[in-house]
Amino acid sequence: MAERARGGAERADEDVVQLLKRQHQEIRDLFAEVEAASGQGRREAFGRLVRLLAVHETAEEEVVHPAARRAFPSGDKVVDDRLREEREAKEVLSELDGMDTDDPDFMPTLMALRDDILAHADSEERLEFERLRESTEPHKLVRMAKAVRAAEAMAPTHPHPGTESAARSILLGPFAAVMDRTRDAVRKAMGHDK
Amino acid sequence: MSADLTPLIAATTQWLTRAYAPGDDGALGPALAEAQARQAVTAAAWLRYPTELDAALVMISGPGGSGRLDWLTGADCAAPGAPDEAEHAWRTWVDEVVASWAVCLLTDPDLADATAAAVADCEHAFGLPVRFRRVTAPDERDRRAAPLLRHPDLVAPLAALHRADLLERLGTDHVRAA
Repeated sequence: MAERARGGAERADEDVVQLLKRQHQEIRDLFAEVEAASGQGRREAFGRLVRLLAVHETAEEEVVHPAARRAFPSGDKVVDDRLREEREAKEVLSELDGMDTDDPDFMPTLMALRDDILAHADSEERLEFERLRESTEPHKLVRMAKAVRAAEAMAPTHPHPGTESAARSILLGPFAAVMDRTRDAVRKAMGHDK
Repeated sequence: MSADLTPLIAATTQWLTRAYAPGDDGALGPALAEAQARQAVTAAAWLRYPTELDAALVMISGPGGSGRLDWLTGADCAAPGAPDEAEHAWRTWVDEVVASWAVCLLTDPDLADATAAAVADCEHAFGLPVRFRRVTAPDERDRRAAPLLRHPDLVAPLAALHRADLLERLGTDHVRAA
């Protein structure tokens, strides 16, 4: 199956709040790593930080914020406030992304971004995540964590077991058509296609 | 939300982001390009394989791989000499139809909205209100990060491969839902 984007202490029964708090900690650690490194090491650490911020923001926006809006009465306002904080941080992030990490303005701008992002993460944890957890069934929170992990998975590094026959069928005709016929036949056989 | 389609979604996303790499020298552009490609691929995959059974079947039979896509786009895989093992491996998980539908969604807001609506209640969503915002309402940063992937002319050959099937599926689903 797909490889994970990062390692870490994830568990199959981890809920989405635990997962996102763990990502917040990774973000804190990466800010410290960028600050401590120099030259190429700083460039690489900053690249990892930017990627994590983009992935984390996407997962929150795709899975967590829509659920929070529905989960508790002031959900819409709480999420809108978080999105406003994020918008401000994203502008600083865009500015930094166009800057060389050796630029004298880089570190002061990075520190400003860190303060904004950590304050935002703190608000999310206190005002959004805890209330989401209080008002959502535990199994749904675990499913949301699975969704976040799926949205961050890397491509597999092993071939599909049926690769050889698939390669041959491309020669026989468009693979998609073969696939559709097979699928239809199996669905009919299993009584799923009325 | 099913993790069953995850390898197909991850590999097809990787194929799209490599074939239409933005050439951005920053770190943010590629990350945002990947995020929106993945949302488009996820929505397309859920539409093509809407049930757990559909997902299980395609994972057994295999999604077909990127062979025809590499040939169509002249992607690096077509270079002389066999691709190395790791490079070959992930390409076997690429789904040609899902890739084609995904670029249709990235270049046509109406299809993006219709697809997001069609998959909102599918089995993969598990009742969660999932939102593919980078596809249905991309902001200026999203558009700037994926100029090639969102360019209708550049993705036209890929979109044309299975666009008719996408239209048919959306039409059929609307009728079925009514």
